[in-house]
Amino acid sequence: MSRFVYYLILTNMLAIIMSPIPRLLLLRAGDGALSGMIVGIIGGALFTYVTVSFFLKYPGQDLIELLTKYTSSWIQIPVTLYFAFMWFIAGTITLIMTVFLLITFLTPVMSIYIISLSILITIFFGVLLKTKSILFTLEILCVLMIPVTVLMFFKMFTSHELDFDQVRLAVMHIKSIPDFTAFNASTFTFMGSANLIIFNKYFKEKQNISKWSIICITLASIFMLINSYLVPIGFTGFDEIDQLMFPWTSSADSVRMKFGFIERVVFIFMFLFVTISFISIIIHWHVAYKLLSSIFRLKSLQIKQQNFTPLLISFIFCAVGLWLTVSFTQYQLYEYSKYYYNILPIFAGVLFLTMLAIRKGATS
Amino acid sequence: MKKGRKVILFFFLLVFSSFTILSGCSYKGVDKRSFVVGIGIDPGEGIEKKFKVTLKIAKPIPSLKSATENEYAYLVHESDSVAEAIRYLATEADKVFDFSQAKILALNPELLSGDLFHLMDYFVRRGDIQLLLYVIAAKPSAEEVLRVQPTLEAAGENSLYNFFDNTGTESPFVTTTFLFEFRRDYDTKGLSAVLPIVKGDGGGTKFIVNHALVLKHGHEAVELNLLETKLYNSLKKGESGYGYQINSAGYKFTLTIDRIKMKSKFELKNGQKPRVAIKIKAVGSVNESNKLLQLRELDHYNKISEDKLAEQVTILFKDLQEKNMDPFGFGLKYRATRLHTDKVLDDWKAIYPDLEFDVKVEVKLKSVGAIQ
Repeated sequence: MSRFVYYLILTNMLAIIMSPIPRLLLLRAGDGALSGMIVGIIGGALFTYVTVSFFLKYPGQDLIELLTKYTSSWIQIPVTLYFAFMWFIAGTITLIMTVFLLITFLTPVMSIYIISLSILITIFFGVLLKTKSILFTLEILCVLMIPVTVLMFFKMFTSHELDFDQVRLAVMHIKSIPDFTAFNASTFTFMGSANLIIFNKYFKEKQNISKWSIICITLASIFMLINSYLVPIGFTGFDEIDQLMFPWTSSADSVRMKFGFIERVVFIFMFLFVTISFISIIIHWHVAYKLLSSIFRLKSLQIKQQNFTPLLISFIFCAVGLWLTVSFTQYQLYEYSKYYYNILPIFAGVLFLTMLAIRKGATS
Repeated sequence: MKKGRKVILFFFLLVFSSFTILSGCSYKGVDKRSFVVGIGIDPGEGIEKKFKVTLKIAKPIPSLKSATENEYAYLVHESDSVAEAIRYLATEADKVFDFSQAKILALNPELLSGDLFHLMDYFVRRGDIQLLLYVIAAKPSAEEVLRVQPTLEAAGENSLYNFFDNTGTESPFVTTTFLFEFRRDYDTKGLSAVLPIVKGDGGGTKFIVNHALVLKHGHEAVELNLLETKLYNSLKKGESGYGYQINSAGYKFTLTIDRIKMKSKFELKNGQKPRVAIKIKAVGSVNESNKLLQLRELDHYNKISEDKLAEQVTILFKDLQEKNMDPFGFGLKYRATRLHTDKVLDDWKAIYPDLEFDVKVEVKLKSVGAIQ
């Protein structure tokens, strides 16, 4: 497996901290969250295995090419539109959550328009980058950020104030029936591999997926889920955990480096995770944009050799993102993102069916 | 110029001209902020005035060299809610309040019984107040404690910070409670929160931090004395240091403890009283003695210390049990060691009043110091 596949999966895992997932999990704490997560980990590992091994069979080809080659257009267009929608929403959820976090913890007096615009201007151009450049950006960010992130996680896990009795208390609730939302939310941790539907174009060599890579990915996601579920419980207590709006960030605020150059670790965390959520939004929207531009290419925007449809798509993404960020309340964000995660099984089903259709077309 | 380029250029011009409608960052410079270093809350005196809020604000000094001592400004207002009082105080100051540096939240003990929800809500709800601030119970009042100006305080320093979290002084008498910890422990069923008591003394020139206050929802607060506070800090928080007095069998010596650790295990058998076996392990040395000590007698000194410590600890546990307080978190431990059912919490409520403590202390003195 190319190292870029790992980066794609890893970024998606890290970005769940900047998504509503920690809160959705913790809302069901003591009510099937933990067992849901365990089932979700198994489901997610299977999902990763199926998706990655499928795309490794078609090196250098993305889903758009495969669809046009092996299926008819009545499958291609609805499937592409549906995937574009799913990816766009995934990026939008991260965007709205990031803005809400910034406005709550860093700049409570700043206007929401200015915060979202300052993010969206970068993303506007980020989305339009070449797919390859995005992969390189991703690599640079991973190399720069992940060591610091690991150090910060280490600080968090070794903190004196982390109460292990609270964590144990949470683990004691393992016997309840798996919760559906918790299951879906934890499968989402693995869904970075689905980005291959576009990025597979750049993995041209024939590669294999080994048992070990799946084990490593599973371990990493278990770590991230523990991090987003058990660590907030250890810092803020099991009984009242559902009261926190941003449980993970509040827990990061409880960690400190007493004699470090910055005492409040939360600022370093914010910096790291805003960066990670930037790249995560760019990846998600880039996939959505590629999918859309494979269907739409407006003739009226053709000026000499240059076609401006990509600019238009990216602009529409940013405009819709801004509108949603400004108009959504926190309640709506959590409620609607819950619906989004709950339709993920349908998404996985559609993806698998498409793969089957392609395979059938390829063999016949 | 090609037409395509012109369009791109036009587009960029459009984007850049749109920047002019932005008002710029609303970020205010340091000179336009006043940094709140401490927040104090007392009961209000007027009618319908629930709280009296005191803000301690750092006065900017041009440089550390030119400053001889610290100067703070204090703003006080009474109101029915904390947020309202702070909003009112904002009209008394010319600069915007910055709470991100606040590290002290002083609460008057009179406010600490009954329901704390209304009192504490503001500090957790506001995201920019750090959850890492030290919560203290201030005697005689929060305002007086904030107004204390210690003689030893250097310019640019806030000496109250140094007491906590082993930043400056290291003592087993000082309890450190962060805001997030206080909230967590207070809300957890089967655990009581503990706050350090800070006394302002010496006509406003001195702090004394060596007592603690145990709090539980719906109960009267219980004050821990000097010895109890020390035992709590050692056993629960693993604080070590000087000052373990052993006065028994004709010996009178003071121990320094390097490491101390407590483990507990429940033994619940049908037909017997519920018991908790507590094992305490302490490693240290002798610091002061009333007579010469023999190295070969270390085992004997261990034994004396063990008996004395076990006695003190058992008295403390029983005392807290009588008052239905649980700062050591036996209830949480109980809940955390069995699979969850709806009955666990009720079971614990029935068990705790009858619980027997079986304390075993193991002291390991490594030396008697530099002389015999």
